[in-house]
Amino acid sequence: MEAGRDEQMVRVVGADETAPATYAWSVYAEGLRVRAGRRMAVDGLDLALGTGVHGLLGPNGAGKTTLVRALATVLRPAGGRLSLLGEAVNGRLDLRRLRRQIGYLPQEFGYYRRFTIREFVEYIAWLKEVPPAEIADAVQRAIDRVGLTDRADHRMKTLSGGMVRRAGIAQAIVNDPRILLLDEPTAGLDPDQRMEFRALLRELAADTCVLIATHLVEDVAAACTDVLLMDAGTLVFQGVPADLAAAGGEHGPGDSPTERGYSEIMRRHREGAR
Amino acid sequence: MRLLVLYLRSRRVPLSVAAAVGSAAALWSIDWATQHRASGAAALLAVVAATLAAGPGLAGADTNLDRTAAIAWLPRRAVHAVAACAAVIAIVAATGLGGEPLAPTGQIVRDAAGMSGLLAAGAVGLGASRAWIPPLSWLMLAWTLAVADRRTLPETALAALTWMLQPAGSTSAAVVAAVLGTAGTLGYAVLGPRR
Amino acid sequence: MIGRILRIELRRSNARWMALLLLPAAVTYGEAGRGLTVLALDQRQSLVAAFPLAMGLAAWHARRERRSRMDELLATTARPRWQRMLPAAAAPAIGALTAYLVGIAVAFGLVLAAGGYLSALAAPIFAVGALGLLVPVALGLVLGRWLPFILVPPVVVIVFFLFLFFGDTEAYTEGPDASGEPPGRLLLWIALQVAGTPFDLAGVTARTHLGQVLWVVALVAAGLIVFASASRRARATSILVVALGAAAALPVLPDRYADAYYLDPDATEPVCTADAPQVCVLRAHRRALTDLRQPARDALAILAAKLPNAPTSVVEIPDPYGAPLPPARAESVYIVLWPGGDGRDTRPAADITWTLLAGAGTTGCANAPAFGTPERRRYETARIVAAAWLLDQEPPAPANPDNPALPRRDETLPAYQALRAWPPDEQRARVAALREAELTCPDTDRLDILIAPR
Repeated sequence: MEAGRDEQMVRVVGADETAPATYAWSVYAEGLRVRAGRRMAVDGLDLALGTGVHGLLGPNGAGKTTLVRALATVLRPAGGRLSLLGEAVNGRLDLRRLRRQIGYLPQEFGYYRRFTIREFVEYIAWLKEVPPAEIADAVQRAIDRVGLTDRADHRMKTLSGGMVRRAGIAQAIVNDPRILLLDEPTAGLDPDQRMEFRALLRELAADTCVLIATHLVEDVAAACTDVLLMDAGTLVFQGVPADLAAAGGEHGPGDSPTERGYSEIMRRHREGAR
Repeated sequence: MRLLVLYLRSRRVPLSVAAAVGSAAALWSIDWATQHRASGAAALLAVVAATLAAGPGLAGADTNLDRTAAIAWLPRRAVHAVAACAAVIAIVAATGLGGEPLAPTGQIVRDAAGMSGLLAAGAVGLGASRAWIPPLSWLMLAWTLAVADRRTLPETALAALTWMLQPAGSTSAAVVAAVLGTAGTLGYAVLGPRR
Repeated sequence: MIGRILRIELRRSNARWMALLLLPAAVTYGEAGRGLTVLALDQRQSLVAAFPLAMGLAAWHARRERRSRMDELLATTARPRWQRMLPAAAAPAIGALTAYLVGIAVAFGLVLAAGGYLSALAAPIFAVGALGLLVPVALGLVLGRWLPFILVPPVVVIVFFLFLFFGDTEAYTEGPDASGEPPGRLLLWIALQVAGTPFDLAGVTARTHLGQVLWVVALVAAGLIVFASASRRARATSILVVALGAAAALPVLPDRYADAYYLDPDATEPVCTADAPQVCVLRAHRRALTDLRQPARDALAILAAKLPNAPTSVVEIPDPYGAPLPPARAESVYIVLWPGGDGRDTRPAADITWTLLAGAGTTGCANAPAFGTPERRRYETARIVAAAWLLDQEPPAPANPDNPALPRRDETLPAYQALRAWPPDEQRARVAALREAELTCPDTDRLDILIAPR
């Protein structure tokens, strides 16, 4: 990622995007329930996300990955309402139009080892029905934005873990999605790369609804416009990072204000639940 | 005993055995239902199918993790390979209990030994999940030579290349099968599966 | 864009491995001197051998998504499954076809180098075979998608057995329930097996090609539907496609397997010496003319010297394979040649002369007694004795002592001596009468003509 590039990134805009937005929220869920295996991992979740970078925190097993999967249309909701970009998702069979505008990076990111980065991102761009004439440019832009330009023609099996993750981010943004869902995007990135990633997020915050599910509280604090805390399938807290930091006091578990706020809110929620 | 069971389950041996038994049974039934017209082919293919079913068991789920284990793998791999071959022989020969055997036992042993050697060599070179490629490739080559017009090749070379299709008494076929079996098993025991 | 995707798929999949590994089945090891049709039919016969490997490699390719753990990511993309799967299916198909094309090129080169006969009729034989190779690829893709991979290789072997078994013509021609006539529906198994026509002179009828193509297209289409479609209903239509294919192909295919072949008129055109006495071979056997010329002229000279109304030419006819011989003509001696791998007939000249002189220069009658009967042995004895008389040698021991149809020396020698016991004019008249009988084919005992008292 070229830090300090002041060139304006022009986003490719499709015809249906120039129509005035008829929806208030990019992601809207009411009483959402999603099953993961036999468990109801998301149980009665209310959510309203607009453009900006939203960080999703929570303990293991809280249902974060299941929620992200449901938003990515991998899983079908078992109950409640879910609408993405103003279109209801429940029970709909043809999700193609939605999927063209979604970018998703799974937690366990699989890839074709033999493909080069460029070929892989190109393949995903084709799968997301990016107009053929624009694919080459979109791919180059995506690769540049994640800082893999000099490795673009290396095979994916020659990449280190962090580079693979960045390639995954590249494929998620290649179609300039309106909704970007990233599950643990900074796993394996070194501190420099994480800072560049945050810069990328700030760029995206202007016109994309980004949801980042992560364990790394500092990432959330530094780059997100909005923080959500999940526990046991429901939303426990939603607010700006400053509010989260303010929730924690001087003492209590945690090595930073945000961590202390997180622990405090969790503790309060669990005590309240008893 | 419990450790042995864990080992077998980790290598998916129960599924392999089920697949081997099922294939042998299927081929035997087709042969029986059609008045033993093609017993030789049924026997050979039962051996091949059972051997291929043993392929994925030649490596664990993570070969790198296996390599870092403290135990001595060489004797264990050798035993595994030999036991797999013996199981194949037993399963295919057992189809003879229902009546006439599909083929003489010597032929079954020879074919199983050769095919197991090729399978083990495949595991060393290509990984356990692709170990089926060498046995099927040689089968294809031999079948092509047997079916097509092959008077352009010298007789001994032909017998060696089509060893699995030769009748039970052929010495050159037995030699080739023995060499393949020993070399393959030894290589697998010493080197282990790839990746 | 689809071209670029296809190129990526080809470069990055196991297509080139498929091409390499299938080469041994695609390359023919046959005798190039016998002509291109022989190699084409050889390649078709060995096509079935490639099935298990092609199926297995295609199944491996089909597991690629699952193996790379990309299936979750791919589920969130916009393009419908079938659009994604068709380029993926094209890669192993192209790999297999490439191997086949190399095999065809090699066959062509070998025949050119050996001077064999390049028949145009070999082209559709090659082409339909290439199409047939797509069947195991499609089947493999289906297996790979639906079965856990540990089960795929054994299932592949079982499917191979089914193909081998139900497509085998030998069951009809040999063995306990041999009815002698393989039915035309066996052609559905794509391989072309031996059935009553010499391979180097054969062509395959257009009906057969069409029937096989219809069937193969239906099978491949059904396989691709099952592989590439996302919904159960779409997959159910594949059964319909297979049924339609069979319904279309079976009436088109010939009723008898042997009817799939016919004699290639270009290959069987006579190629003759420029000078008299004329010796002709079939165009596909033109390299054997040098081997036939001298023995043929020797035989004609002997016949001219010893018999009235001697024939003046030797003409090769195609091996009738049990069908009736063409009607004999008094002015030609017919002979059947079986050239070897280099297109030449390697029999010693004396043997060829002997064959020509059997029955005093005739090829035998269609109404001759049946094989294996004592009457047949008398018939053969008469023909051998005639040749022996013309060559002024005692009849030799039979070349194959185990063949029950051939008379032994203790039958032919006494007959020869009995013939020699007659006065020379009588001997000549009797041998001429034998020749006349062999040309007109009455129902008389030939040995009586030679040795019985009048």
